[in-house]
Amino acid sequence: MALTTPRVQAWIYAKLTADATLMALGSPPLSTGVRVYPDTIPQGVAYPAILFAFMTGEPVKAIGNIQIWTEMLWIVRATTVGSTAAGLEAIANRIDTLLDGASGTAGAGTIFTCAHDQERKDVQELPGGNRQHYLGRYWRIQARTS
Amino acid sequence: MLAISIKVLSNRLPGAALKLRQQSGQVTRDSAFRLRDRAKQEAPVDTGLLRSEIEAIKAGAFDWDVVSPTFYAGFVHNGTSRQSPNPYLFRASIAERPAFLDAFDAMLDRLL
Repeated sequence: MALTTPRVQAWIYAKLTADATLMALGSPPLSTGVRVYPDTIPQGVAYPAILFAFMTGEPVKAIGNIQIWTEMLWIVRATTVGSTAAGLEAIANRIDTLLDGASGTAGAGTIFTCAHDQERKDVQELPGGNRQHYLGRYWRIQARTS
Repeated sequence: MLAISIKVLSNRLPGAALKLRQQSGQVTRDSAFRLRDRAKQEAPVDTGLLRSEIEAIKAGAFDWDVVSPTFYAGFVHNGTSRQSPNPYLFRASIAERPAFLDAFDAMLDRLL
C-alpha cells in the first residue's frame, strides 16, 4: 500500500500550474519561476505566490482492513508580501474555480472529489514592519492510491 | 379470524424527551472538554502561551467551541511561508470524534 499524500500533492501542483489563466496572474506573473509551493516558500522568490499544504487525513476502511479511500484536508492560499493584499483575490478566486468539484489522477493516485471548505484570510506581521497576506481556503479531498 | 393485539405496558418516551435534552448538553460539554485537553496535548510548546490559552467556550445549549485565541495560533496551525502547518486542533478533533459518538450512543441506550 502506498501513501496518498504525495499523490494528492502532485495532483494539486499539476492542476494549478497547468492553468494558463492562473499562471498569468500576479506581477510578476505566477508563471515566472512557477511560484506554486507545497509546505513552505523558498527564500528569495518573488511574490505573489501560491502556498499549499496537507493538514489532516483519515483512512476510510472496510471490513478486513481494506482501505477504501483517505479523507483529507488541505489548505491552499495565495500569499504576498507588502502593505496591501492587492492581487490576491483574483488568484484565490481562480484557484476556487480550478479545484472546486475537480477530480483526476496523479500517477497511482486517484482523486475522487475535491470540495471547498472554510475560507482563510490572515495577515502576518514580519520583522522590519512588512506584512505577509494570505487568502484562500481549506479543501476536503477524497483520494486513494492503488 | 386471527387478530393480534398490541398493548403498551411501559412508555418511556415522554420522560426520555426531557432527559435527552439535558443529557445531550452534558455529553457535548464533556466532549468539548476532552477536545480542549487533547488540543493542549497536541499543541506545540515554546513558551507555553499557545497551549495555556486553548479553551472550551459554550456557544449554545448543545454547541461548544474549542478555541486557540493566541494571536499567532493561526500561523502555527495553518503554517506560513516559512513554516509547515501544525494543525493541532484538527488532530484533536479527529481523535475526539469516536469518543463523542460512543458517549452519545451510550446516552441513547440508557434513555430508550
